[in-house]
Amino acid sequence: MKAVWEFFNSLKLTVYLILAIVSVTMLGSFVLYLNPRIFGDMDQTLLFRWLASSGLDYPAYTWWLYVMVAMVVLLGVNTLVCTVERLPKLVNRYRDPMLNLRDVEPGGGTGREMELADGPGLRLSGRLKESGYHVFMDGDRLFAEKNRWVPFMPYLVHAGIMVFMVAHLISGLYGYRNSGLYIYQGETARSPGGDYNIRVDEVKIDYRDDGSLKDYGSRLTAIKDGREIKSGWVSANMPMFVEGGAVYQRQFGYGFKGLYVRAAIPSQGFDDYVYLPKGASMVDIGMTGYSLSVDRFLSDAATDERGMYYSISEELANPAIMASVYHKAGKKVASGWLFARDPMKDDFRSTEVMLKLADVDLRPYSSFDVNRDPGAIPAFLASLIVMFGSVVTLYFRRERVWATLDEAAGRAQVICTDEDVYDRLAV
Amino acid sequence: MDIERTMFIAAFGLAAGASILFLSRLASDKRPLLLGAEALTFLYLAAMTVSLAARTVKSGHAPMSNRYESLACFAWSLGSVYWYVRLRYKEARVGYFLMPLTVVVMFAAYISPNMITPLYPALDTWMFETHVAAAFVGYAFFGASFAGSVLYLVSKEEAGRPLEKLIFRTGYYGYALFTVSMVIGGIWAYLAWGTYWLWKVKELWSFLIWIYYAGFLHAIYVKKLRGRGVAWLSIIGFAITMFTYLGVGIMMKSTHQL
Repeated sequence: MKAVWEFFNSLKLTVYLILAIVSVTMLGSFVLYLNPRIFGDMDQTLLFRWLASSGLDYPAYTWWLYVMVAMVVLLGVNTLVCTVERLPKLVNRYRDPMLNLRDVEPGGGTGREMELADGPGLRLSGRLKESGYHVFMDGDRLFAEKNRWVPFMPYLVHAGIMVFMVAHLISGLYGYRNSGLYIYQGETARSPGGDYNIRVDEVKIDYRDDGSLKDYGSRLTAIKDGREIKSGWVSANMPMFVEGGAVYQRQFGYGFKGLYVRAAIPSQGFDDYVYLPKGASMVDIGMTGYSLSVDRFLSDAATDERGMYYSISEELANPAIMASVYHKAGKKVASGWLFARDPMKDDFRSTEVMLKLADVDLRPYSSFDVNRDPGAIPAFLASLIVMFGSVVTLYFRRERVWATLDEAAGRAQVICTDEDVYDRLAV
Repeated sequence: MDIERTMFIAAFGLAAGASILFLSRLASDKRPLLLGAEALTFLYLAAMTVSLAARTVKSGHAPMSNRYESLACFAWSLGSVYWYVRLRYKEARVGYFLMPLTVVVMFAAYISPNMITPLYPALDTWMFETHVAAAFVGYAFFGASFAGSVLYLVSKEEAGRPLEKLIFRTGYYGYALFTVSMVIGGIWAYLAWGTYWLWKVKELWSFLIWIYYAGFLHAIYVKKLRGRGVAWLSIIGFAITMFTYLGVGIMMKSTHQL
């Protein structure tokens, strides 16, 4: 056990593990880039689930991920052991600063000899205190330190990294990710992974004058057991947090929901719009006893060289239907093409019933990802700790001064960790 | 020609002039060459600052949303870091490497389409700007560490000398700023895409930079690696950084191009 502990209590191991992780990740990045078919679905699920399922299907391509995860875990253990081993020593030195006197041997040819006239101890100590140092003296030896707390910062960073790893593990074990929840404006759908419904109250898409997208979003209401539990806008960089998960706007647009056909039956004095929902094959024309059937639908009608109609694109640029009208006895009254954009081409002819394709029902929709990541908040807190520790160490440096005082000669042998401190002391 | 483009071209010329003077200084020890190079570097930074400020005013957003803007910002970061190192460490020689690199980056910007592109809604956030700015300045500090390392290896200075301190400190500045970039980027990605990590090439290489420089910072405490070892690690680190910034975006067609 002691041998294992000693193995992990090594800074050299840290460096070599990092170099190994770097090498494996470099190699893996090319494998990942060249094989989108294998790795393409990784972001749709959580890492550990992917490793336990899809990842095992192509071991020749995915082995590097398992090696990388294993080495990151070893690095975590290495960090933990080094922290446990070194932190108490650091605390001891903080509590008993005189322990630092053993670090160097003033007078051994290092540092500088300073002339300080009579009372060098007091003079040196006074100048150091003026410069913000904490000064500690033991007989003819002096130790001074500025920003004494700085050595704790790397340990704070290490702690942040370890918390981040644990948070990531929690996310992998207890989170979920679901994508592709399409909901039309005004409609409600069951939230995947959660026991509540999501209703899209409004879809907003704003464009700039040049046609570029300016903003998009959806106003959602989360409903649980018939009760509205949360309502708000979801847009770019602004998910809605509900029931421990979050709803993210992914895509948006206008979807085809159906057609409006204007029908007139003079013998019955009927003249109104009939709604044909997408996918419906037959609908009644009011209470007239006539029915309308859609035999073919073209989203963007055009004619080929033989004069036959076909759809030139998926866009709803020129919708057309091949419609038939039946009487209640099942007798076909008439049939023919109706065009939304070019009514001159309509060839539906009947004296009993007149039809016109009036409008297309295009309705805005949004698609959403619904994710739950219980490790996200701890991961962000840990990241902020890492960031804080790193940045603070940029601005504050620990400075130390050791001195052996020769009171009788009015001199001191001084060692400073920073060259410019000598100038500050030699006033 | 508008002020933004005029100042950009002026900055390009000034950077080229500064580079020629810095490189001439390698062959000749004349002090006026260095003074001239420093003066041109200062003017370069001023011109580039005006150019980027003018573009910001014109576009209404920080200039970071396409390849031209990204390269221009990186070139500005290199000039700024040169002056930081010059003033903080009184080391002008990093200009031998930073300014020629600036010229290469400026040339890449010059041949890139420079039209102003509207900002996609997800990019319209301070987190995007902070993420990118911290990364660029971090990259530039890695560049300074690289420059210090080459000088160290060429001049064969002994361990513990000022150049070694410069290599370590600038590497550390780069690491701290890159950490800020990674953390802010992660929080932004979580809010925008629902996850703080995506299995994409650019993300993997960004992780590589971060963990590599973590190793670099630890290596300084490993006796065997001190001095030349750390200098070589810094040189390799900058190669990784440049590949992540330019190589992944251009050669590997990443969705996270910049």
